[in-house]
Amino acid sequence: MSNVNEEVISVKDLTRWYVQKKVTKQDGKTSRKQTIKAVDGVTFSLKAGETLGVIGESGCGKSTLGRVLIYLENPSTGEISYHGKSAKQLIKEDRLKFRRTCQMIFQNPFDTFDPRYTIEKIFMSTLKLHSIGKNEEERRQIILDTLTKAGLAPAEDYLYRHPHELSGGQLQRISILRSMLLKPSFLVADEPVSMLDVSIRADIINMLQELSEKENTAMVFISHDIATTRYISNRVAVMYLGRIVETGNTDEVLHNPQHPYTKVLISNCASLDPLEKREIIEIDGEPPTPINTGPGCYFAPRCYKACEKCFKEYPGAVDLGHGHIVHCHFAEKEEQ
Amino acid sequence: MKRYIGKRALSGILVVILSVCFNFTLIRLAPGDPVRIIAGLDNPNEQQIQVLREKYGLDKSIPEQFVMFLKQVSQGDLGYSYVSDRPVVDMIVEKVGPTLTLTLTAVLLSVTLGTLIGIYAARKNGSWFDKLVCNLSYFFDATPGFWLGLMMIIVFASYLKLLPTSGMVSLKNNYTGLKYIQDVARHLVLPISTMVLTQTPYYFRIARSSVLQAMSEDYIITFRATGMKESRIFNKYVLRNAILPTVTVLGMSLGFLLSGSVLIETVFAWPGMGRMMFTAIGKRDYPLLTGIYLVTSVMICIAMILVDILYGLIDPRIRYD
Ligand SMILES: Nc1ncnc2c1ncn2[C@@H]1O[C@H](COP(=O)(O)OP(=O)(O)OP(=O)(O)O)[C@@H](O)[C@H]1O
Ligand SMILES: [Mg+2]
Repeated sequence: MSNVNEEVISVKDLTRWYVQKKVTKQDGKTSRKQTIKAVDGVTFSLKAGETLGVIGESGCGKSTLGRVLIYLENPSTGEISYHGKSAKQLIKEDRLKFRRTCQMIFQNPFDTFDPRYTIEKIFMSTLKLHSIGKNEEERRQIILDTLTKAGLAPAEDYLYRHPHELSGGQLQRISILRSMLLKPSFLVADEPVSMLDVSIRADIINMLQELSEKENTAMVFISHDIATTRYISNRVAVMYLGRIVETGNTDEVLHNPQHPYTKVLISNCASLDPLEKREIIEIDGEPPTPINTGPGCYFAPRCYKACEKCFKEYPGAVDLGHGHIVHCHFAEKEEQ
Repeated sequence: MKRYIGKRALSGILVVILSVCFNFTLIRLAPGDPVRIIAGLDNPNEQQIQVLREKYGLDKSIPEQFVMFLKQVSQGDLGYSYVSDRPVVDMIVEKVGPTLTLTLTAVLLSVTLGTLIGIYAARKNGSWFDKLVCNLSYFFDATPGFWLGLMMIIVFASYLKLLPTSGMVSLKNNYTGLKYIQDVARHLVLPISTMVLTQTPYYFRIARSSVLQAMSEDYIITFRATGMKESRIFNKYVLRNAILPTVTVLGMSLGFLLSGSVLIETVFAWPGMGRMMFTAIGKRDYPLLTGIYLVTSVMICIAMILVDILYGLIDPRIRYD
């Protein structure tokens, strides 16, 4: 188990670009190539037991960030290090061990498992691959215990079922259990409750939290639901078009948002705190795609505050203290 | 499972009867009178024609004829060919060997080749090899089989004189034993190459696209995230999921094995079922044609049932109760 104060993961200027071939632009012209900057310069670090909530609109690059963090996709540029060691190096040295250290819970539980294998086989192959349990009998017992503890009882009932014979909530639990079986020190949970009924969301979130607390896992919790994120995260990062625009302690950011985009997100979220006085802000336009972003602030075209400077120059980091960092020209002004 | 097979077999019998009934009627509605063809086209002897018509039961209405035919079939009799006066069953049995030799070899070769190349191309998706075989597959898919066959004959038989032009055996020499097999094999090369060249693209594209599809499934990423080796993911999980469409198409084409390939057999003068059917259509040989239809539709039904059962074994999501 990791030391509490040790940085489990630290990420610097991480980018992930996709090159798209032969595209038709809006003005009817076609161009050979086009770069989609799905993740465009992300920097953060996480200690053991900490949870970072990542929020943002659909398509802002949350899932891509998650996949790159655990090296399912290679970053285009930037660095990821685990416990101070470069991830690239770690993979080269011992791929299996690296895969065990960092795990991901995928966004869609229905497509996470091979439809042709039973739940038992799915768990069994994971255990075997990482040589957990001495023999078949012991592994079976581990699987039964895991299922029972997660409220999937009687566990024997689930062993021989195929993924399509389970409900979304059950699959989501199994997805979480499969990841946690390996006792990872870093976990990416990509919207683990987005497909679920509100009634079972709390159960799943609690289960995830219990498991990660037990193993002291550092976690990146991806969601576009602010209420859930607030409940589980120590810190949050607000993403817009592949960049983190505001980050800090959860309460600080959600109660005292400085970036106009964060304000908009919060004002659109009804369930946060009904007694709180909030400004209701509307934004126009569709969430844009991260292609050919101009030199200025990415949010400027939709921002209600935007001035000339916003279109010309991407705002640098403004430190508001206690780790609350904002990328906005106006935040700077307020501080001065 | 047993109940399922029973149900499928029953509906299969129904399908066979319906399709034979359909063909039975259609061929009789088509212009052309078998009796006049048998009697000789310029033989105006009306009395003789009337006698023949009664002999074959052609003076009765089509529904009556069909009922008679069904009675016959239930006794295992498919009647006599108008043209050769031989039992239809014997004629079909005689052609089964040559046709199967040709079609079975061609199908097995095409499936194996197409699937292997398809898998490899999918794995090297976007490489020059992938692009090359994709383009080749479009080319051969767009090439008519009979034309390709003729070109083969011109190049390899007429011009280079490497292989025989047509037929199944050299009629001049009466080979026996090993020599006979060698002779047949030499005659097989051109028709089989033609069939393989035109059929492989089909299996190639199915294999390639289903492997590509399986590789992009989300659960493949799960295996990767678990730490499984790429080669193992591919061999064990991608391939098994990708093989389903190939099984379907293979099963369907097995159904057509017995009916042979009309065009290829005609171009290469291969003494098979396809060519026999082609001549039978020209001569309006009703009993022979109906016999061939019957055998073909039975084969197709059996193949479909087999495919469905195989599906259940391969894909656990499909259950039969
Ligand atoms: N393989 C890919 N090739 C090209 N573009 C991609 C690819 N994967 C993602 N993108 C693009 O990158 C951007 C970010 O996608 P991503 O899936 O990370 O969004 P997200 O924030 O997870 O959205 P959601 O909340 O809907 O899950 C999108 O514009 C998407 O179209
Ligand atoms: Mg996503």
